[in-house]
Amino acid sequence: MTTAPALTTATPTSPRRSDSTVTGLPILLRVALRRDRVRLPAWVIGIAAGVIATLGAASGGYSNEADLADRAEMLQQPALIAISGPSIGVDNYTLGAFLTNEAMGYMLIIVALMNILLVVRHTRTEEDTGRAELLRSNVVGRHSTLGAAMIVALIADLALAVLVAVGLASAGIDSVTWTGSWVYGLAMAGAGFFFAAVTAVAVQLRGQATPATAMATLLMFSAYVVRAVGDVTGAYWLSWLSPFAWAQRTYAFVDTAWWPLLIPVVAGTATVLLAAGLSSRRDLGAGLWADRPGATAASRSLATPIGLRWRLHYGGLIGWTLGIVGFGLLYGPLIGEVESVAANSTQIGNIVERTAGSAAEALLAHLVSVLAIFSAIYGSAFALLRARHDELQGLAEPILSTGVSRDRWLGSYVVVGTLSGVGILFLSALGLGATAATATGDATLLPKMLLAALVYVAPLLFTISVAAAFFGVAPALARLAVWVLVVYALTVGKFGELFGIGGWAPQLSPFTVVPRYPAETLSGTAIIGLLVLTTGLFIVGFRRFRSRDLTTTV
Amino acid sequence: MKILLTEHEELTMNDVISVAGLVKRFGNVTALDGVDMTVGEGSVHGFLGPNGAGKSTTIRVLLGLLRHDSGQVRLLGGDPWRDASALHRRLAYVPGDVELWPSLTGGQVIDILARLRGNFDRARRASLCERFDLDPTKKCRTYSKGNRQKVALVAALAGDVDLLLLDEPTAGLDPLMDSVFQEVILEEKARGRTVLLSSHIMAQVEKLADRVSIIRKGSIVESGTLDELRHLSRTTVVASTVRPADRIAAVPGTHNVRLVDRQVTVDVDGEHMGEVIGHLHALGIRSLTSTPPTLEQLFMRHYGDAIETSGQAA
Repeated sequence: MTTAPALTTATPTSPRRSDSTVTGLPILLRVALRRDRVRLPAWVIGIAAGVIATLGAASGGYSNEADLADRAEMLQQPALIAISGPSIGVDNYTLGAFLTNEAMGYMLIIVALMNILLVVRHTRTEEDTGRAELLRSNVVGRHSTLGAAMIVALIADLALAVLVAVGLASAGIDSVTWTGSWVYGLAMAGAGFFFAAVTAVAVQLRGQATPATAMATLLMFSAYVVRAVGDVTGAYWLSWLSPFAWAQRTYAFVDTAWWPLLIPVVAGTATVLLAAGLSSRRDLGAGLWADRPGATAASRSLATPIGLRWRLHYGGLIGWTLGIVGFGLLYGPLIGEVESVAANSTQIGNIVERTAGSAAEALLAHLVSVLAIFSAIYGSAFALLRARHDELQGLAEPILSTGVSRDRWLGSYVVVGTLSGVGILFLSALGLGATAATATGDATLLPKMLLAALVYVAPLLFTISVAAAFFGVAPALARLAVWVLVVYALTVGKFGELFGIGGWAPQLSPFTVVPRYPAETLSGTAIIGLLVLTTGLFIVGFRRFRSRDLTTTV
Repeated sequence: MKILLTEHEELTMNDVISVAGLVKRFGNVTALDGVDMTVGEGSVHGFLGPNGAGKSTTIRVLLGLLRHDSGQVRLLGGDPWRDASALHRRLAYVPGDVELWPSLTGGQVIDILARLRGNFDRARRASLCERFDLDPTKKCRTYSKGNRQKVALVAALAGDVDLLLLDEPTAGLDPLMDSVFQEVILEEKARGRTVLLSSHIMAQVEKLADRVSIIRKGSIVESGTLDELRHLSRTTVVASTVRPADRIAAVPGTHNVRLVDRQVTVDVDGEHMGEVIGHLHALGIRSLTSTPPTLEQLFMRHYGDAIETSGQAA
């Protein structure tokens, strides 16, 4: 018995419904929001909390105007312009000016990453898995998936703007006004949305989620560098090409201007339209850049767990290496400037507390720790936690059903993640050290940078071991745990260090607890402690992974 | 009646799918090299071919997911690339490899897919879930391949559509569910729906399809009704005769003669059947069986080495 109604033959499509390239978008949007109902609020609330905590840390560190004035003088040095911003509000430096001039850049990197991962997740990943095919065979317009992803990004960015604005304005700090807070929050949202739009183009060009993410991330770091070069050299037209400048040059809390908020709106919309145009020209599931045929057979080295891991990683690895090494190379030459100005300024010594070496060394110590955090992000969130992705996608099963043990399988991710992270760290420290040594004529800076990189191997390994431990114990939380750790290190940890704030909060970051060589003298206690913890976490991760079920979504 | 009919109206009135000279290239690889196919309204059309022959690529072009390089493609009177979402309102698609959103339940996915299309029969959804023995309350991450396929099947069949595009839709189903599937498709056919069924399960296509197209290396090598195609193939005759049929190989149209004592097994071209039976009759027939060619033989002839080596069909 069937309960089906009689079919009226050749039922005409109801003419009142107009079909467009965004047909079905509202339903796709609801599905996307439903799927992200935990992940997205976690990102948004996490970033907003980071911004507000940064303000809190700064107000604790700079309790009086003299501190702020010292800071302001220091901020006019080229190296600090490159690190933070174009000396916004240095005439009368306030906590509000600090937020725009210094905190904005770092925060935007994280906002951009949220947007990049979000757009890739809702577009290219859907195509990679074949779910997009099922949807697009339905009454779904060609641009509905992209449109839904962009709206999800917009919702996340606007929610972030509201949380940041309300959070900052409610902090009860004089210089942090309501108007400024709104502009600040919206400036973050605007730049974030622009990176979402850039990612929308990247996913049209590249045929897989990973290279698309790498491409968008590389563009984001390039934008950071472009802003720094423009601001340091005074070529402000160059700065204006970067979304980082669009956000900073609202002069929120200083000389608040609304109009720069329009730039990401216009540029973002144009970029989304470009992405939509490109998507109309390509096949579903393909990139515009076609894949070339490859080898018929695997080499002996490829047919090992580590060889396979390495082969599958090096595309992303090259992108990250270029990005992070480029970051280091850019800052090296500016060290010379710091050194010459610092000779006439005692305040620059305040850049980090208890400075043991020169001003240049203090800055280098700061920079190498930033390089280490980004190397660790690649080694843990990208290289090691690829294991979780592969497990869920059913890519672990075929390997584990051969003679490869679980230890060896997970070990291949640990080895490649560690080698990649350490490799990027040393290469970027080498670049930074070499350019800094050339700029200052102090050849000892090069070996010092390499030694500093060696110090940061411990927190880098620790970060990877946290990822491995969560992968074994609570795999569903592993990604969240790693991102919380590195975002914490980059915000509370970093700013704690920049301001020389005492207290325990910054010291919770593994990247802050180790000696800030060459600004501090070397000591092994923290390093040894981290390495002991690292070993323990690896043991826990491997043991628990050995005894837990594999989960797969395919 | 069909709102999408254009200047090609008179050509496409009765053909739900009409493909001529379809070419699709991926970089340097030519995946489809001049595919021709027509599917008439209300028919079940079997689409056969080995892996990589171009079945899925053809279907993806029909769905407007891939853009073809040359040739003509009409679907339900429209252009599958340009009119994709309007045409999709009148068709449903089931892929061979179904991926679903791990955090949603099967029931949620069915409803999402059905609401997108807009025409959806809740009672039929319930009845299909029951017949396919699908629990719609489970999260998709817990479904096996077969159960994910059932989700896609229920979503497709619960809609009120004119055309079903099924790309190896039963690849993950057990034989019991496969027979439910066949029942349902026959019901759909009785209700006047058109079905394009890509498959490499011969028995299924033989049972369901009115017409068949065989694709190999990106072009159609054979097309027609099952009867028409059978004419092209050979019937296997097994006969016991009073006197041994030791000279039967000389009769035109015979192939692959195997003689054991007085029993002869021989493959006969359709048009020479009379001469072969006459020859056997003259030898004194004791028993005679004749097995019509199966789709498998048709299929093997086009991509196997030779029908002679493919063994006897059941």
